[in-house]
Amino acid sequence: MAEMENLRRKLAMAVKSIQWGYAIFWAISSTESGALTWCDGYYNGDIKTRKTIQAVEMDKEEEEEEEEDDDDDDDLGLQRTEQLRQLYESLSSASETHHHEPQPRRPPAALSPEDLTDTEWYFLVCMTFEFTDGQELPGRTLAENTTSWLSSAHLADNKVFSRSLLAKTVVCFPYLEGIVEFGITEKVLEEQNIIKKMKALIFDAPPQKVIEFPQESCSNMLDHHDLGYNNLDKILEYDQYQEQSWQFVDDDDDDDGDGEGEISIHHNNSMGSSDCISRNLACGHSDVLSDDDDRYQCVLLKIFKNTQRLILGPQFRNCDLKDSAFVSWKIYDGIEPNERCSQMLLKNILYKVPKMHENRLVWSCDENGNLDQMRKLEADDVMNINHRFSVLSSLVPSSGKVDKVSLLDDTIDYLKTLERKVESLQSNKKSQDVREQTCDNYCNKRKASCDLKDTQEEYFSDCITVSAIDKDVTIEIRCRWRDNMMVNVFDAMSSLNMESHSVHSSTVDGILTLTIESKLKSITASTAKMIRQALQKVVGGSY
Amino acid sequence: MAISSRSTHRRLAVGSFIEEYANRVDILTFDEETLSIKPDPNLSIDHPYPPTKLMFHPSPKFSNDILASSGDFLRLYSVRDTSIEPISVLNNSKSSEFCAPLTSFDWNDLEPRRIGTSSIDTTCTIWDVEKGAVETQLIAHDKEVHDIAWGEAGVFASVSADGSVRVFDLRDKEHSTIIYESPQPDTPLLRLAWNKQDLRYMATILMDSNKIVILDIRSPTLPVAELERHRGCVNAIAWAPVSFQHICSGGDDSQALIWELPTVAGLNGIDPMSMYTAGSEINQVQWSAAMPDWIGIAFANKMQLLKV
Repeated sequence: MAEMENLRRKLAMAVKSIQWGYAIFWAISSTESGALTWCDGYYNGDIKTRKTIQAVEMDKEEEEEEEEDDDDDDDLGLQRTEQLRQLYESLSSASETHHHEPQPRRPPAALSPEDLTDTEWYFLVCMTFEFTDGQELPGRTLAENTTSWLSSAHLADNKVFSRSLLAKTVVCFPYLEGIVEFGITEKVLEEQNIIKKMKALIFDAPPQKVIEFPQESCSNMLDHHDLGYNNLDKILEYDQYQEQSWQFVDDDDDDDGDGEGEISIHHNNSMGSSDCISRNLACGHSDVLSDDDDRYQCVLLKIFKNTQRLILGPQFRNCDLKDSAFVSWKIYDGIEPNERCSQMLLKNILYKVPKMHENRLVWSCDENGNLDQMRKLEADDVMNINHRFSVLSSLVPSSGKVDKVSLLDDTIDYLKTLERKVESLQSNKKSQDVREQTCDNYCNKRKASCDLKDTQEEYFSDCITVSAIDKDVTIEIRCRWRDNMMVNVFDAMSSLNMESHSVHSSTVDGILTLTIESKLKSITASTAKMIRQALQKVVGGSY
Repeated sequence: MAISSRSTHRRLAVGSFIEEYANRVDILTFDEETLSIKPDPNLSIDHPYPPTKLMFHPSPKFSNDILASSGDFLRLYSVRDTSIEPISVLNNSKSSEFCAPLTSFDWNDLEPRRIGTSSIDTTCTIWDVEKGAVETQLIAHDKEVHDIAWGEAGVFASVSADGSVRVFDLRDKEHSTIIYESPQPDTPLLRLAWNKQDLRYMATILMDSNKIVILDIRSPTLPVAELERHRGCVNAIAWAPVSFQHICSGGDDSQALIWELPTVAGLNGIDPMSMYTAGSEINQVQWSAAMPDWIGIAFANKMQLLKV
């Protein structure tokens, strides 16, 4: 244990002195001969937040800060590495537990996956790797027992270096029962000084105070832009929001259109940054894709599947919802509900559907339970009714809803508007009728007397009113009396196939008032309008 | 318009709601890798009148999915790769070839041979679907029973138009426990959801109400919480399959809300944690253990899967 502690301190010192991103010690596996597995490491890169969940850790940190100020940085780094390791262990163990188990309220690790930077993710993913003899950089280094320097790891062949995610420069050399690996996200050309420095600190050196370098700290390393095509910033793009949506409209010929229809998925990329990493990897090295990509997918899926459950835990409130189709709740911005049809479908299902079944039962019992026939009959009925409904819906301007209740509502509304229209048109018509009745005026011709006001002033006007109910026609005529007027009127009537059976006439001050009740001999004869026109001719024309 | 799912095949069943005899149930396949939903013209079957509920077998032993629907009868269908076939039509009436229409049912996931149905004739029927026989029939309520939900292998609860939530234990069929009654007498309770992650809690919704009533079976008659942030009536509720304190609801205000039940309720009531606004009234919400990351909602003639 002490040895392990020592090793980690050595790694820490070495990596800090050269200001690289991380150091890993790959140990020769005790279970599998020749295989190298993760043994220990030290993370010296960017840290998003120092926030941890366990308050105990914080206390400890503070104490240490007070006690040994110089060691502060070192200890924090070691602690961070330890926390990362814990997180990895909690994630990988969680993935093996059963899905239905209630989630512990607090994850065992001090860090939660949301708090990690991308380089920390890289470090975490490295923990899942192992290499057999001669495989990849660590394996090969072990086999050849030399120091290897890979200065463009992100472009390297998959066989040489498969973790081509973030690290651009990787150095490996054998140490004790394994391999020490250093890595950095910048491109650094091979330099013996650096190797010497590394080895010096790893091989001899009892633990000692770290030499502080005052310049830019390592945590800034992600700010260096590599202007190559594999721009770091692009890889680290974290707020990527992808919504993918598929929609299709059912091909089935659906009469009513309300049966089945559109189906869509809303999915916001759940993978966050790491998915972007592998995707970026994919565009960079299309030939490397294959199993390598699968591996990341696999690891990340495993991790994210678990974090999903963590997210649903107590931290859910704090984490942003960018992965979700849901957004944070705010007071209101929805559609105002339609009072008329509250819980319509649910009520229909609970109350109407059972009635439908009951109705059918009553029917079919009447018919001695000849169910099939009843069904068929009923189906025909329904078809007929539906046909009429669809005709109706084509006649009535719709409010957009497709169900029958809405259709009937629309129809009612529509009929009401039509009624109002008819009413207003009729009242217009009436006033026009008055005008027409008065248009053949003694002194003025039609145009001159068109105004209703005028006609009221003109006393001597011919008034002809014709009302027809079925075959019975009542004619009222008021005009200036003259000879043969009555004869002419009756001639005109008989020419229209009309037979008068009651006539009242009176003459006051030279104005003839004539009321005739008559019958049409055949329906095909003239309408009231035609009769009126004919009589008008007689009354007016004979003047 | 109901959705269900199963672990391996990621299938969804959607039923139509048309106010006439001819309705359909379609099976859709959801591919989580490519994020696509595919219908299969072969996997579609006629249903007499709209199904009042659809549900897949909770843990199928066989290679085929089994789908159940309620309506005039409890119907079972076998969903194969290329076809869907009716298996059986279960009728609980010995005297006639018809049974009283069913409003809902629930498949017992601890004892998958058991299905409980709720009917408008005030009864609940417990079926042994393997034998295709009635296990027991109980007069559960004074009025129509609207929904039923299993808690344990032999314990179920039901809600009714009489406004009560009652819990039944099959070991003692004579008695039931009323654990809630709606405040205005005879306000019908429409749907019921039992929290499978924490069996102390269940949720129900009232007719013409924007409230989701959360009940704790340890404190009968007094609800532990009432969630009233919907601006319209609530149509559907679903507990989270992997978390004991989350519930999703959908309502006439077109919103799907995810709620986190706090340990202590604030004075001003409980606010939802997150929301999604759909195109129109949400009629169905499904949150299945087979796909805990996805919530299915149904509105108008659309079905959507929402990433949680």
